[in-house]
Order: sequence, then C-alpha cells, then structure tokens
Amino acid sequence: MHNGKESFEKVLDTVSRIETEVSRHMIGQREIIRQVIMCILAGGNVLLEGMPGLGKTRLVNILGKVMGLEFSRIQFTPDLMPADVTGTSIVDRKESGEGMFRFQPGPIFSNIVLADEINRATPKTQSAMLQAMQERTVTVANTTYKLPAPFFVLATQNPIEMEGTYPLPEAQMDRFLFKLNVPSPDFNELKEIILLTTTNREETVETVTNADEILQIQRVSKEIPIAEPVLDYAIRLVMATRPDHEASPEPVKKYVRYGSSPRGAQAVISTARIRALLSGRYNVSFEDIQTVVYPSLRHRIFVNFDAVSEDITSDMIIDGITKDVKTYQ
Amino acid sequence: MDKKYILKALRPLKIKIYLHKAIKILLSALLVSGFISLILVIVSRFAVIPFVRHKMFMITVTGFFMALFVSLYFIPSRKQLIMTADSLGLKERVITAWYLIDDDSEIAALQRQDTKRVLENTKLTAAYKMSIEKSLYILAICFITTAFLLTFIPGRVFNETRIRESLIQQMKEHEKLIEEEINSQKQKSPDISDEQLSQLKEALEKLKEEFKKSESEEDALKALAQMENLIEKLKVQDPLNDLKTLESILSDSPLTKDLAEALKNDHEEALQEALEQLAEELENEEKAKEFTEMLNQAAMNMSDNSMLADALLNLASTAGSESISRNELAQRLMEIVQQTEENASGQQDFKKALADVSEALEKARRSITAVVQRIASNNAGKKTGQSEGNNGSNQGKGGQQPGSGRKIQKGAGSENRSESQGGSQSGNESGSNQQSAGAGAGAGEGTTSIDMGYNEGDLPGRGRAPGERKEEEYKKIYVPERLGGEGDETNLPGRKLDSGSSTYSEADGAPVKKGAMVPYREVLSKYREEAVQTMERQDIPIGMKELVKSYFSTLD
Repeated sequence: MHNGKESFEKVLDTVSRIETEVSRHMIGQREIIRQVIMCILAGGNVLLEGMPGLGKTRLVNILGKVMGLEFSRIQFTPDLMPADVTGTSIVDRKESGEGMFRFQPGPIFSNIVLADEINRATPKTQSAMLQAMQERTVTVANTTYKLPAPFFVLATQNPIEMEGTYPLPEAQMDRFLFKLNVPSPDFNELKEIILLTTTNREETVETVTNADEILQIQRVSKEIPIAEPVLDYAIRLVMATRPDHEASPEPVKKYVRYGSSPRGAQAVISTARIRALLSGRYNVSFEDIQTVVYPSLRHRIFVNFDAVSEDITSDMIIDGITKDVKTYQ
Repeated sequence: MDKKYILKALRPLKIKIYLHKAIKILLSALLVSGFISLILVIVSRFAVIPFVRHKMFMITVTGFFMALFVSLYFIPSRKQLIMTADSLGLKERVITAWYLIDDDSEIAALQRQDTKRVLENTKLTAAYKMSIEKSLYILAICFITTAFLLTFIPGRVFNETRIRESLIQQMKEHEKLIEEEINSQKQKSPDISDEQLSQLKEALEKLKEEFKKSESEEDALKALAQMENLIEKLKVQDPLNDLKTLESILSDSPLTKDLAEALKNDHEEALQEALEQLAEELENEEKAKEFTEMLNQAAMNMSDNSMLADALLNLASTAGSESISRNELAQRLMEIVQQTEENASGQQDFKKALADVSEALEKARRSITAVVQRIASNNAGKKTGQSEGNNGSNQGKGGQQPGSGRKIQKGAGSENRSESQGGSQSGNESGSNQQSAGAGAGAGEGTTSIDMGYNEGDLPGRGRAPGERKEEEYKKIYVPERLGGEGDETNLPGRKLDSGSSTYSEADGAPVKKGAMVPYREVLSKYREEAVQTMERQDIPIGMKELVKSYFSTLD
C-alpha cells in the first residue's frame, strides 16, 4: 500500500473525527474514550475495570456505530459455556429429511465484542474467549473459523464484588493491551448525563469511518517513526518493572512479584504510536510513552503481599519507575 | 531539511543555553570568590595580610576568568541542544528528524516537514527561560560587600599590616630603581665589561629573591645589607693587581718565564709564541703538573673574591682532570688573561657603577627605615595623645587617687612628637586645674623599664607644670667592635621626659651590616676567656662563677 502524504493526512483526519464523534455522545470520560480508541486502533483488547453504570456498554455501542462496525455483547455468568461465546454446530434438517451440521456463530463473531463482567465466567469459558482474542480464530468441532477483522474485545470487570468470581489468571491478563480504570463522573458530568439520558431527545450517532479505514489506520500507525532514544526509554521503563533487573528502583524490588513481559513493551510502543497519530504528530514522544505506560503495564505488574498489605498499587509502582528512569541516558 | 538546517535553526537556542550556563558558573565563581575574600578579610583582622583589597580583587578576577574558562567546557553538545529543544514543546520531533535524516521513506519526509514547520513557528529562545536562583547572586553580593566593607574597619593587626604594605611598596619601588641604575651603567660607562655587569645583575637577582622572602623590615634591611656586602666585595677586587701577581708567579718558573715576559710587555705576538711553546711543554706530564700547581699558587696569592683567582682555580682543576687538551689549556689561559685585562680596563668605571648602586641601596635602606618609623611614630603619637589626655583627667581625680601610669611604646618622629605633646599639654592642664582644687597625688609613674628612675612627679603634692620636662639623650646601643665586626655605630634616638614617659624609636636594622652578625663560635672562646679573667680579678661568689662557667659550657 502506498502511504502518501494524503493518506497519512486522511488517517489523521479520520482518527480525529472518531474521537470527536464519540466524545460528543459520551459525557466526560475523555481520557478513557481516547485510550479505548487508541487501543482499538492499535488492534488490541481492553479490560475496563469500574463500577456498573459508568457507561461502559454505551461507550462500546457508540464506538461500534461511529466506526461502522458490528457490535455484540456477552454478559458473563458462572453458567455461561464456551459454546455460548464461540457458537456451536447445530443439525440443519432439510425438507428432504436429510440433516447436516451447520455452524451457528456465537456472539464473538462480531467486530466489537463487549465481554461484560468477564470474571464471573468459569475459567473454561474465559479461556475460550481469551483464545479467540489472541488468535482471532475460533475452533469448533475441528473446524477453525476466522473472526471478522477488525476484531476487538472490550471486557469489563467489577473491582469490588469478588464473591463468586473467577479472577483472570496473570497469563490471560497479559492478553489485554490496556487495562483502564473507569472513573466515576464528577458533578457536572453527571448532570449532563442525566439531562441527556432521561429525556426524549433522540441522538443520532454519525458513522465516520468503516472497517477498511480502521484497518488502514492500523497499518499506517505501525509506520509512525520512533527515535532510538525514545524507544530505549520505553524499553528501560518496561525493564524497570522487573524486580530482578539491576536498574529497577527500590519500590519495584520491594513490592513487585513479577514485572512486565515483552508483550508489555509491545503494547507501550504500539499505543504510543497511535497517541502520536491522535496528536497529529509523525513521531513518538517521551510524553506518549509516559502516558501509555500506565494502561499498558498496570495489569502486567503483579505486586506481592507486602504491597497489598500497604495498599501499594501497580500505578504507584509505575509512578516510581517513571520518576526514576531518565528519558536520556 | 538536513542536519545543517536543524543545527542552524537551533543556533540561537544554543547561544542562550550557553549564556545561561555561563552566567550560572560566573555567579557560582563569584560566590566562591566572595566567600574566600570574606574568609581572607576575617583572617586579616587577626594576622598580617598585606594588600587585602588587592588580593580580594585578584581573587574575584581570577574567579571570573576561571569561570569563563570553565564555561567553555559547558558549550551545549548537539545531544543536549536537541534534548532541550524537544523539551520546549517540540515533542521529540527534532531528535526523530535527526535519526531519520537519511531515511527516504514517505513517513520520514513527512516527519521532517512537520519538524521544519514546528521549528519555524516556535520561538525557542523565548520558550527557554533563563532561571537563575536569586539566592545565589544575593549571597555572592553579600559576601563581597561584607568583605569589602570589613577592610575599612581597623582590626587587631591594622598597624602591622600597614607597615608591611608600606614595606612591600618600598621594596618594590627600590628594587626597580636599583635595577634601572644597574641597567643604565652600560650607557653611563661603556668600558664596563659584560662580566662585571652580569655580576651586578646577579647581586640584584639575589636581592630580589631576598626581598620576596622578606616578611619584616629587618628582613628587608638584611637583604639590602647582603647586597651591600656583595658590592663591597666587588669593590675590593683589583684585576690589575691580580694580573701582576700572576705575572710574578709565572716569571718564577722557567716553564712560564717567556709567557710572564710577554704578559708584562703586553706583546701579542710574543704572547702567542709563548703560549704555543707552553702548550708543547705541557705535553710533558711533570711540567703539566707543575703548571697546575703554579696556577693554584697564583690563585692563592690573589685577593679575596678575585675573579681571576676563581678562573685560575677552575682552570687548574680542569687541567688536573685531563679532560682538556694542552693546546686548549693554553688557549683558555689566554682567554682568562684577556678577560682580566678587559675587566682591569673598565675597573674605574665599574667602581663608579658600584658606587652608584651603593648609593641606590643606601637610599633604599633609608626609605625602608623611614617608612616604618613614620608609621610607628604616627601610631605612638596618637597613643601618647590619648594616653596623656587620660593621664590629665586621672590627675584631676588625683586628689583621691594617684595618677595612673603611662606606658608609651613608640614614637620618635618630630611631627608626631608635637602632636603628642599637644595632647599631653591639654591633658596636663586639666589635670593641673583639678589638682589645685584637691591634693594631687602626683603625676604618673614611668612604667617602662627604660623609664625607671625618672618618676620625679611621683612626689606627693608636687604637681607637674605644663610643658615642664627633663630630657636626656639615649646612649649608643650598638658598638660593632664589641661583636668583632665592622660598620657604622647605631644610635637610638629618643628623649626621656620628666614625667617618666619617653619617646624613642627602635634601632631597626642595626646589627645587620657587615660584621654585625658574627657566628657565636667565632667569639665564644674570646668571650669565655674574658669572663674567666674577669672572675679571677674580681670578688665574685663561687656559686656565681660556677653559673658563668656552666653557661659557657652550655654554649659549647
């Protein structure tokens, strides 16, 4: 594909319009919106953590419409089976009486999938979901089905209700590009939400792009250059999350059980590129890295018991790392 | 856009960054200089440190230039420059463009264009803020100002410092004058040989070295005396007489008889022939030995400090070591003789030059002594005025209590004396008035050891009339012969007043002339002998005799 100046400018324009249109229909949560868009454009999956009723489903719905993508929602419950997610083969009987198996696709066969309260499902169902997320394929009855492109999963989980839940294992957490903590709206935002949602006002969401353009943006974003010192900085940040690394700051050595995997570094770089694109720049900056490092690494840093007992969160650890690691060495 | 374009666009920023760093370094240097100056000034209040203000200035100037020099090492590198530019809102555009400079891809070109656009639209110099900590320069100014102001407040060693400063100034001034005098001698007296002139210059260099080491007036006078001694040594040299001595010694031996004859007649051809003949003769080892002995003997018979004697001794030792050919030996002798003749011809002029230099040295000696005396008497005058004024008021109270004694340390200058007398009179007048009202208990007692016995005013009821005084000249205190040396006698000028006070000057620099300083070993035996003889002649307790004997044995 030839990526001329016009195509880059078109990409910049599309990205900007997506953000504007989604923000028009979502009150507040600007940073969350931006980060979700960044994650989608980078081709990754998002884990949204927040209380119910914060507009997570609405966000996914609007995103689907704005991007012109097919959207589906799966409510995870303990009795949800993998087939309920992936789909299953059913007997399709013809008029002649002849019967044959036909694959009935599950809700996962969609461009954007909202996996609501993913931690309520059993590990077996979670695995089926996470396999699809990682490989972008579903295998049913020895037949592999490719998921539509682009494909994104936006999973949510409730941080406070832990009873009857199956927390996602570390390995599976790693498959989410971002983990976002959805904050509660402030007074003004809440007021606007009420005014917008409790009236008869009809809202028309404009579709500003389509699947092809999204795929093009994904391709273009990978070409955004990154200077060697900036790349080095990102790598040093990721390496500093490991307690066994000699250059790690003291809090990491004290409170971190496991640091980020290389997938964390990939997440940082790919989303930093998108952020640069969203900012209308053709290069990645230190600021991009410093911004994306939180959602990219917070679910990849596993703190130990000491940290839990002292209320030390992974975000605090990342704070320490960004302060400790110098941009230029 | 290429690297040159980037660097050109960043040049104003580079200059501003450098200026910022340079200012910071300069301020730091100023702070350090100020601190050092302050310490110096504080120390100078307790220890003699001459020219403190000048030193302060030099410290500050040195700090300034060092800071300038150091700041050269802080010219921002390309990396620093690019980093700073990016941090001023360019968001790593420059560093990325720098890395992509050779990349021909579409995105790299777009990135460069974007960087160029941002560089053109951003005023980097305005965005770069030159923040300097106020406390840094306020502290620097405080240090320097405090140090400077402190130099105007007299400290404990203020007078000593002034004396040292005057002394150094005088030394420098006279060093220059003596140097000029020596340098002008070649024009004044063209017959002076280069060797003679170099002897004078050597003496001057020695004087300079000694002046540098001098810490007191005594040291300075010693240095001058040393040079005077050197000049005296040069004066007593007589090359003509030395040549005659050489001729006489040479004529005693058949080996060098012809040479002596040629020297006597000052016949050049004959001299050349004689030298050639001598060279041949010297091939014989016995004769060479005889010749070396002859040279030594001639040197021994010459006057002290003779240049010819030194040259002959040197030649003799060279001949003895056989590192010189016989022809060369004869040739060297010829050169020595010629040099001596040349010196002899300019001897008159040289002596005149020596006299001029001596005169310059004498002037220097007088100036140095005068300066120290002037400052000392200034201080003494002030003290006397104050002290006598106090005395007067004490006398006023003297109806009840005796007048407090005075202790005047120094003061000899005529100007100062009059100042002190004035103070004294007014003080005494008031004292007299008070005395008439009550019973005066007498004027003060002389309390210096020198003044003991002159306290006539301590008779009860005898008030001292203003201006009344008893004066007595001090005796000679330095008789060089006593120390076995030669030189001028030194008097101690001063007066003793009837009140018991006195003005006098210290006999600065007296025992430093030639012969004044005699190693005690040279006189010890003579003094011991005299002591023993005296003890035999006079009735002295045995215990005391033993004490004297043990004193001399200790010196042994």
